[in-house]
Amino acid sequence: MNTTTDLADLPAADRAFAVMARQGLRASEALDYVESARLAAGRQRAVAAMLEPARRPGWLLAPAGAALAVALLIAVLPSRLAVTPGLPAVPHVNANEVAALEWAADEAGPEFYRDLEFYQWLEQHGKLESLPEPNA
Amino acid sequence: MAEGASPQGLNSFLLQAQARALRVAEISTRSRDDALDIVQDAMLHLARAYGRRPADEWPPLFHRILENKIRDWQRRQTVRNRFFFWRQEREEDDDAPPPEERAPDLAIPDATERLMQDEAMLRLKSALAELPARQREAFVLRIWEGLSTDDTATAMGCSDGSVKTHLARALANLRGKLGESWSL
Repeated sequence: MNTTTDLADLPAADRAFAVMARQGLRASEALDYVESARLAAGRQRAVAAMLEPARRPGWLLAPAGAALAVALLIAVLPSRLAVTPGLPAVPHVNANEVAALEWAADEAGPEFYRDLEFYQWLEQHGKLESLPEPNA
Repeated sequence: MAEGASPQGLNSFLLQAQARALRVAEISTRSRDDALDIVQDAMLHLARAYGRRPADEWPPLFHRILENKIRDWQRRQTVRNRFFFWRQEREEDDDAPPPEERAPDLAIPDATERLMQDEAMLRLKSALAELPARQREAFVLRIWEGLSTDDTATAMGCSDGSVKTHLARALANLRGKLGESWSL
Protein backbone atom coordinates (compact mmCIF):
# COMPACT_ATOMS: atom_id res chain seq x y z
CA MET A 1 0.00 0.00 0.00
CA ASN A 2 1.40 3.35 -0.99
CA THR A 3 1.00 5.59 2.03
CA THR A 4 3.84 7.98 1.38
CA THR A 5 3.30 11.22 3.17
CA ASP A 6 4.19 13.20 0.13
CA LEU A 7 2.49 16.52 0.65
CA ALA A 8 5.33 18.52 -0.86
CA ASP A 9 3.20 19.62 -3.79
CA LEU A 10 0.88 21.55 -1.45
CA PRO A 11 1.37 25.24 -0.65
CA ALA A 12 3.06 25.78 2.75
CA ALA A 13 -0.09 26.95 4.57
CA ASP A 14 -2.14 24.06 3.19
CA ARG A 15 0.64 21.60 4.06
CA ALA A 16 0.76 22.71 7.70
CA PHE A 17 -3.01 22.41 7.97
CA ALA A 18 -3.01 19.03 6.20
CA VAL A 19 -0.34 17.59 8.49
CA MET A 20 -2.22 18.74 11.59
CA ALA A 21 -5.54 17.39 10.28
CA ARG A 22 -3.93 14.07 9.41
CA GLN A 23 -2.47 13.72 12.91
CA GLY A 24 -5.80 14.48 14.53
CA LEU A 25 -7.81 12.22 12.27
CA ARG A 26 -5.42 9.30 12.63
CA ALA A 27 -5.43 9.72 16.39
CA SER A 28 -9.22 9.37 16.36
CA GLU A 29 -9.13 5.93 14.76
CA ALA A 30 -9.05 3.87 17.96
CA LEU A 31 -11.84 1.29 17.98
CA ASP A 32 -13.93 0.29 20.95
CA TYR A 33 -14.80 -3.36 21.56
CA VAL A 34 -18.17 -3.20 19.81
CA GLU A 35 -16.61 -1.74 16.68
CA SER A 36 -13.72 -4.23 16.80
CA ALA A 37 -16.08 -7.18 17.15
CA ARG A 38 -18.35 -6.15 14.31
CA LEU A 39 -15.43 -5.37 12.02
CA ALA A 40 -13.81 -8.71 12.88
CA ALA A 41 -17.05 -10.45 11.92
CA GLY A 42 -17.08 -8.51 8.65
CA ARG A 43 -13.48 -9.51 7.97
CA GLN A 44 -14.26 -13.17 8.61
CA ARG A 45 -17.19 -13.06 6.21
CA ALA A 46 -15.03 -11.37 3.59
CA VAL A 47 -12.26 -13.95 3.89
CA ALA A 48 -14.82 -16.78 3.71
CA ALA A 49 -16.33 -15.18 0.60
CA MET A 50 -12.88 -15.05 -0.99
CA LEU A 51 -12.52 -18.80 -0.54
CA GLU A 52 -15.90 -19.54 -2.14
CA PRO A 53 -15.83 -20.66 -5.79
CA ALA A 54 -16.58 -17.87 -8.20
CA ARG A 55 -20.32 -17.50 -8.59
CA ARG A 56 -22.02 -16.96 -11.91
CA PRO A 57 -23.49 -13.48 -11.82
CA GLY A 58 -27.29 -13.55 -11.65
CA TRP A 59 -27.63 -10.99 -14.42
CA LEU A 60 -26.28 -13.54 -16.91
CA LEU A 61 -29.48 -15.53 -16.47
CA ALA A 62 -31.60 -12.75 -17.97
CA PRO A 63 -30.03 -12.80 -21.47
CA ALA A 64 -29.93 -16.61 -21.37
CA GLY A 65 -33.66 -16.71 -20.58
CA ALA A 66 -34.41 -14.18 -23.30
CA ALA A 67 -32.43 -16.22 -25.85
CA LEU A 68 -34.32 -19.38 -24.85
CA ALA A 69 -37.67 -17.60 -25.20
CA VAL A 70 -36.73 -16.31 -28.68
CA ALA A 71 -35.60 -19.81 -29.73
CA LEU A 72 -38.92 -21.28 -28.56
CA LEU A 73 -40.87 -18.61 -30.43
CA ILE A 74 -38.89 -19.31 -33.61
CA ALA A 75 -39.61 -23.03 -33.26
CA VAL A 76 -43.33 -22.68 -32.55
CA LEU A 77 -44.45 -19.68 -34.62
CA PRO A 78 -43.89 -21.05 -38.19
CA SER A 79 -46.31 -23.95 -37.66
CA ARG A 80 -48.89 -21.54 -36.25
CA LEU A 81 -48.48 -19.06 -39.09
CA ALA A 82 -48.35 -21.63 -41.94
CA VAL A 83 -51.84 -20.69 -43.24
CA THR A 84 -52.20 -18.73 -46.49
CA PRO A 85 -53.25 -15.21 -45.63
CA GLY A 86 -56.82 -14.41 -46.58
CA LEU A 87 -58.08 -18.00 -46.53
CA PRO A 88 -59.90 -19.54 -43.61
CA ALA A 89 -57.75 -21.94 -41.68
CA VAL A 90 -58.34 -25.59 -42.60
CA PRO A 91 -58.94 -27.66 -39.51
CA HIS A 92 -56.46 -30.44 -39.09
CA VAL A 93 -58.16 -33.84 -38.96
CA ASN A 94 -56.33 -37.04 -38.11
CA ALA A 95 -56.98 -40.57 -39.39
CA ASN A 96 -58.97 -41.72 -36.35
CA GLU A 97 -61.34 -38.81 -36.70
CA VAL A 98 -61.87 -39.65 -40.42
CA ALA A 99 -62.64 -43.27 -39.51
CA ALA A 100 -65.12 -42.08 -36.92
CA LEU A 101 -66.83 -39.89 -39.53
CA GLU A 102 -67.07 -42.86 -41.95
CA TRP A 103 -68.60 -44.91 -39.20
CA ALA A 104 -71.20 -42.21 -38.59
CA ALA A 105 -72.08 -42.02 -42.31
CA ASP A 106 -72.54 -45.80 -42.60
CA GLU A 107 -76.08 -46.98 -43.42
CA ALA A 108 -75.94 -49.79 -40.90
CA GLY A 109 -77.57 -49.01 -37.61
CA PRO A 110 -75.57 -48.64 -34.42
CA GLU A 111 -77.09 -51.89 -33.12
CA PHE A 112 -75.17 -53.70 -35.90
CA TYR A 113 -71.87 -52.48 -34.48
CA ARG A 114 -72.93 -53.19 -30.94
CA ASP A 115 -73.16 -56.97 -31.75
CA LEU A 116 -70.31 -57.01 -34.22
CA GLU A 117 -68.64 -60.08 -32.75
CA PHE A 118 -71.94 -62.00 -32.95
CA TYR A 119 -72.37 -61.17 -36.64
CA GLN A 120 -68.78 -62.15 -37.33
CA TRP A 121 -69.48 -65.51 -35.70
CA LEU A 122 -72.62 -65.94 -37.76
CA GLU A 123 -70.72 -65.14 -40.94
CA GLN A 124 -67.98 -67.61 -40.10
CA HIS A 125 -70.55 -70.36 -39.58
CA GLY A 126 -72.58 -69.51 -42.70
CA LYS A 127 -75.69 -68.60 -40.79
CA LEU A 128 -75.82 -64.90 -41.63
CA GLU A 129 -77.95 -65.38 -44.76
CA SER A 130 -80.56 -67.33 -42.78
CA LEU A 131 -81.33 -64.37 -40.56
CA PRO A 132 -84.49 -62.37 -41.38
CA GLU A 133 -84.10 -58.81 -42.74
CA PRO A 134 -84.40 -56.22 -39.91
CA ASN A 135 -87.31 -54.37 -41.66
CA ALA A 136 -89.08 -57.52 -42.77
CA MET B 1 -4.66 -16.57 -7.65
CA ALA B 2 -2.34 -13.59 -8.07
CA GLU B 3 0.73 -13.18 -5.93
CA GLY B 4 -0.14 -11.74 -2.52
CA ALA B 5 -3.87 -12.19 -3.04
CA SER B 6 -4.38 -14.76 -0.30
CA PRO B 7 -7.06 -14.94 2.41
CA GLN B 8 -4.40 -14.08 4.98
CA GLY B 9 -3.29 -11.14 2.85
CA LEU B 10 -6.86 -9.93 2.55
CA ASN B 11 -7.39 -10.27 6.29
CA SER B 12 -4.22 -8.25 6.99
CA PHE B 13 -5.23 -5.55 4.55
CA LEU B 14 -8.73 -5.25 6.00
CA LEU B 15 -7.37 -5.24 9.54
CA GLN B 16 -5.15 -2.34 8.66
CA ALA B 17 -7.80 -0.41 6.70
CA GLN B 18 -10.89 -1.04 8.83
CA ALA B 19 -10.53 1.66 11.51
CA ARG B 20 -9.92 4.47 9.07
CA ALA B 21 -12.67 3.23 6.78
CA LEU B 22 -15.06 3.22 9.74
CA ARG B 23 -14.21 6.79 10.71
CA VAL B 24 -14.55 7.96 7.10
CA ALA B 25 -17.97 6.31 6.86
CA GLU B 26 -18.94 7.66 10.26
CA ILE B 27 -18.14 11.22 9.20
CA SER B 28 -20.31 10.86 6.12
CA THR B 29 -23.22 9.08 7.77
CA ARG B 30 -22.97 10.55 11.28
CA SER B 31 -24.13 7.16 12.52
CA ARG B 32 -21.80 4.53 13.92
CA ASP B 33 -24.14 1.62 13.24
CA ASP B 34 -24.70 2.59 9.65
CA ALA B 35 -20.97 3.21 9.22
CA LEU B 36 -20.22 -0.29 10.56
CA ASP B 37 -22.74 -1.81 8.15
CA ILE B 38 -21.22 0.10 5.25
CA VAL B 39 -17.65 -0.97 6.07
CA GLN B 40 -18.73 -4.62 6.46
CA ASP B 41 -20.51 -4.47 3.10
CA ALA B 42 -17.45 -2.89 1.49
CA MET B 43 -15.21 -5.65 2.89
CA LEU B 44 -17.49 -8.34 1.50
CA HIS B 45 -17.77 -6.63 -1.86
CA LEU B 46 -13.99 -6.29 -2.14
CA ALA B 47 -13.48 -9.98 -1.33
CA ARG B 48 -16.14 -11.19 -3.77
CA ALA B 49 -15.39 -8.90 -6.67
CA TYR B 50 -11.67 -8.25 -6.37
CA GLY B 51 -10.35 -10.84 -3.89
CA ARG B 52 -8.33 -12.55 -6.61
CA ARG B 53 -6.77 -9.35 -7.89
CA PRO B 54 -3.19 -8.47 -6.84
CA ALA B 55 -3.05 -7.19 -3.27
CA ASP B 56 -1.51 -3.86 -4.23
CA GLU B 57 -4.69 -3.02 -6.16
CA TRP B 58 -6.87 -3.41 -3.08
CA PRO B 59 -6.41 0.00 -1.36
CA PRO B 60 -7.82 2.18 -4.17
CA LEU B 61 -10.48 -0.43 -4.98
CA PHE B 62 -11.55 -0.66 -1.35
CA HIS B 63 -11.87 3.10 -1.03
CA ARG B 64 -13.82 3.28 -4.27
CA ILE B 65 -16.22 0.61 -3.04
CA LEU B 66 -16.51 2.36 0.32
CA GLU B 67 -17.32 5.71 -1.30
CA ASN B 68 -19.93 4.07 -3.53
CA LYS B 69 -21.54 2.39 -0.53
CA ILE B 70 -21.59 5.70 1.34
CA ARG B 71 -23.17 7.40 -1.67
CA ASP B 72 -25.81 4.65 -1.95
CA TRP B 73 -26.55 5.04 1.75
CA GLN B 74 -26.93 8.82 1.36
CA ARG B 75 -29.32 8.37 -1.56
CA ARG B 76 -31.43 5.93 0.42
CA GLN B 77 -31.44 8.29 3.41
CA THR B 78 -32.55 11.19 1.24
CA VAL B 79 -35.57 9.22 0.07
CA ARG B 80 -36.27 7.82 3.52
CA ASN B 81 -35.98 11.19 5.24
CA ARG B 82 -38.62 12.66 2.97
CA PHE B 83 -41.14 10.35 4.56
CA PHE B 84 -39.75 9.57 8.00
CA PHE B 85 -37.77 12.64 9.06
CA TRP B 86 -39.85 13.21 12.19
CA ARG B 87 -39.36 9.64 13.33
CA GLN B 88 -35.58 9.75 12.90
CA GLU B 89 -35.32 12.93 14.96
CA ARG B 90 -37.16 11.26 17.82
CA GLU B 91 -34.90 8.20 17.69
CA GLU B 92 -31.79 10.36 17.76
CA ASP B 93 -33.09 12.19 20.82
CA ASP B 94 -33.75 8.87 22.54
CA ASP B 95 -30.26 7.56 21.73
CA ALA B 96 -28.42 10.61 23.04
CA PRO B 97 -26.63 10.00 26.35
CA PRO B 98 -27.83 11.98 29.37
CA PRO B 99 -26.14 15.38 29.87
CA GLU B 100 -24.12 14.22 32.89
CA GLU B 101 -22.47 11.54 30.73
CA ARG B 102 -21.65 14.00 28.01
CA ALA B 103 -19.94 16.49 30.32
CA PRO B 104 -16.16 16.02 30.64
CA ASP B 105 -14.64 15.21 34.01
CA LEU B 106 -12.57 18.33 34.58
CA ALA B 107 -10.88 16.80 37.62
CA ILE B 108 -8.81 14.56 35.35
CA PRO B 109 -5.43 16.15 34.43
CA ASP B 110 -5.32 17.42 30.83
CA ALA B 111 -9.11 17.15 30.68
CA THR B 112 -9.41 20.75 29.51
CA GLU B 113 -6.78 20.22 26.85
CA ARG B 114 -8.44 17.00 25.74
CA LEU B 115 -11.78 18.72 25.64
CA MET B 116 -10.34 21.42 23.38
CA GLN B 117 -8.78 18.79 21.13
CA ASP B 118 -12.03 16.87 20.97
CA GLU B 119 -13.84 20.07 20.17
CA ALA B 120 -11.35 20.88 17.40
CA MET B 121 -11.70 17.36 15.98
CA LEU B 122 -15.48 17.60 16.09
CA ARG B 123 -15.32 20.84 14.16
CA LEU B 124 -12.94 19.32 11.63
CA LYS B 125 -15.14 16.24 11.14
CA SER B 126 -18.25 18.37 10.89
CA ALA B 127 -16.60 20.61 8.27
CA LEU B 128 -15.40 17.49 6.45
CA ALA B 129 -18.94 16.11 6.39
CA GLU B 130 -20.22 19.32 4.83
CA LEU B 131 -17.74 19.25 1.95
CA PRO B 132 -18.98 18.27 -1.52
CA ALA B 133 -18.51 14.52 -1.99
CA ARG B 134 -15.63 14.69 -4.46
CA GLN B 135 -13.69 17.20 -2.35
CA ARG B 136 -14.21 15.10 0.76
CA GLU B 137 -13.10 12.01 -1.12
CA ALA B 138 -9.91 13.71 -2.33
CA PHE B 139 -9.12 14.98 1.17
CA VAL B 140 -9.77 11.62 2.84
CA LEU B 141 -7.72 9.60 0.38
CA ARG B 142 -4.85 12.03 -0.10
CA ILE B 143 -4.47 13.57 3.36
CA TRP B 144 -6.03 11.13 5.82
CA GLU B 145 -5.28 7.86 4.06
CA GLY B 146 -2.00 9.16 2.65
CA LEU B 147 -2.45 7.66 -0.81
CA SER B 148 -0.36 9.06 -3.64
CA THR B 149 -2.01 11.30 -6.20
CA ASP B 150 -1.96 8.39 -8.69
CA ASP B 151 -3.66 5.96 -6.31
CA THR B 152 -6.17 8.63 -5.30
CA ALA B 153 -6.97 9.23 -8.97
CA THR B 154 -7.49 5.47 -9.45
CA ALA B 155 -9.75 5.28 -6.41
CA MET B 156 -11.77 8.30 -7.52
CA GLY B 157 -11.85 7.27 -11.17
CA CYS B 158 -10.50 10.58 -12.43
CA SER B 159 -7.23 12.19 -13.57
CA ASP B 160 -4.34 13.36 -11.38
CA GLY B 161 -5.19 16.95 -12.27
CA SER B 162 -8.75 16.53 -11.03
CA VAL B 163 -7.47 15.11 -7.75
CA LYS B 164 -5.24 18.15 -7.25
CA THR B 165 -8.11 20.51 -8.05
CA HIS B 166 -10.55 18.76 -5.69
CA LEU B 167 -7.93 18.65 -2.94
CA ALA B 168 -7.01 22.33 -3.28
CA ARG B 169 -10.70 23.27 -3.08
CA ALA B 170 -11.24 20.95 -0.11
CA LEU B 171 -8.34 22.48 1.81
CA ALA B 172 -9.48 26.01 1.01
CA ASN B 173 -13.02 25.15 2.11
CA LEU B 174 -11.91 23.51 5.35
CA ARG B 175 -9.54 26.32 6.29
CA GLY B 176 -12.26 28.81 5.49
CA LYS B 177 -14.80 27.00 7.68
CA LEU B 178 -12.46 26.29 10.58
CA GLY B 179 -10.66 29.62 10.52
CA GLU B 180 -6.93 30.29 10.32
CA SER B 181 -6.55 29.85 14.08
CA TRP B 182 -7.78 26.24 14.03
CA SER B 183 -5.35 23.85 15.64
CA LEU B 184 -5.40 20.66 17.64
